[in-house]
Amino acid sequence: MQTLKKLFPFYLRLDKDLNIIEYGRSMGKLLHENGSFKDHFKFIRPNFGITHSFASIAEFLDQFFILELFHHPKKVRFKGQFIIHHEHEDELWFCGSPWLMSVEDLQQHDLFVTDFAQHDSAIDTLLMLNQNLLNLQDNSKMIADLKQKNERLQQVNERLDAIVYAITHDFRAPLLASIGLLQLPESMVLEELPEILHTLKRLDRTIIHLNELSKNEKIALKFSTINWEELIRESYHNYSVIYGIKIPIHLSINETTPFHSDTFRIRTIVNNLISNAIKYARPVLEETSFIKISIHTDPSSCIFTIEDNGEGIDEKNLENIFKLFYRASIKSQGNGIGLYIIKEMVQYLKGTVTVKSVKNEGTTFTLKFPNQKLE
Amino acid sequence: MKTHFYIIDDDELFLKLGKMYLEMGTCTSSVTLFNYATEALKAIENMEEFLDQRYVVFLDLNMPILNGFGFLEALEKKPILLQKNIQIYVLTSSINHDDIERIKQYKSVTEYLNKPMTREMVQHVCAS
Repeated sequence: MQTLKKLFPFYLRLDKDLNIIEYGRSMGKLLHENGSFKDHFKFIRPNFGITHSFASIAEFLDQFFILELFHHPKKVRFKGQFIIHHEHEDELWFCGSPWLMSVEDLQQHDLFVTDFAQHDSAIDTLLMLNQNLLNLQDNSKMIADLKQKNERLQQVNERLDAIVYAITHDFRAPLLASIGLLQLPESMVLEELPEILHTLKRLDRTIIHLNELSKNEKIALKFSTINWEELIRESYHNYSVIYGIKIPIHLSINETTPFHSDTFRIRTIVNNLISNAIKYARPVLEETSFIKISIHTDPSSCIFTIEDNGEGIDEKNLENIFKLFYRASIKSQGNGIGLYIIKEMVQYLKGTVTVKSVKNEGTTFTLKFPNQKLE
Repeated sequence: MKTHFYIIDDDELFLKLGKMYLEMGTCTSSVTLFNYATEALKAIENMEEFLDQRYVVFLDLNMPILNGFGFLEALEKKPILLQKNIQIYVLTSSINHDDIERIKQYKSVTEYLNKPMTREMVQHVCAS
């Protein structure tokens, strides 16, 4: 009996005269009085040759029944089977559960999933339906996610293509030039050694740049206080040594509040800007060449400006300079990665970068970064 | 045949290297260097013709402003230039299959060569 109650929360116990003597706890939600079975239920199936009598039902014990609770406003139907338990031979037990088509059906009858036995196939189906509903929502989210990931992959792929092209071209060029120089007659090779060294260093710089680029994608942001003065002096010193030119630098730092950002990216950006300012200085100007850097910080942002009177950029090339592997001038010792790195990193820091330039007069880059909060 | 060489390359080092090798060549009459393909195009339009002398152009592919392909397009649009005694060798660091295939479409190209220039390459060009 306990098993029956547990397995069929909608069970019915009928006596010889088909009076309802007991019903399951979940059935109680739909049926509010005992009374006669005949007054509450009619047979939907079997619908032929069956009457509301103990003997008649007993003839259909091995059959599948559908009963309708016809007084109920929603006319709930039950599917199941009648059994006669060997210890209660004068009773008919109906073992079944509601015939529900959807989750809404379930809710309309104030029923919950807990009203059903765990093994119940009806509830299994409903759970599955419910799952499908969830899946549908999941699916649309998944499609959007996939679409986004796909676009991202496409971008990464395009960049990879560009990098592979660079490796087979821009990387090979200095190597091939060195090979060419080394294959000269011995007496000439010695003279060319400094050129070979210079060429290989150029290749190394390209590789360092590419490494910075890939790091930007991989390394998480880590905010700390930026020491502008130290960062700029260090960078300026390094690149003056590398290019063997000392161009006067004017530094004006107006820091009302400390500036917090990602040191690795800020340093890389500053290195690339200072290196460009030194590299593209006009030799004819000699001592009148200059680099002017001004920094202004406030609690919300930092504005960094670097101005030079170097060779400048043609107006028609200006829109392309931030593109990967773009080289505006032939004199350009560059590899077309530096400004692209700046653009990518500034974007990563949610900042902005703008450029103004006049050919043979000079270039000004203005960058704006948000001032981050320290954890 | 006495040969005037033109090298078109945006890389100073390859120009210098090419000049060094070509000056060792047995057929070399002169070597002219071009940073820009546009300048070389002008030079070809204005070059003098000699019955007993030819011109050989070494053309790089990847260059800013006017690349090697653009140079060949411009050249092939002016058939009169191709009637001059001129041979074009593509000399590039590109080992890209697409580039090699694309170059085959240009009738004006004699041969596709890979950098760097060598003594053997100069001998080969002088002999052909």
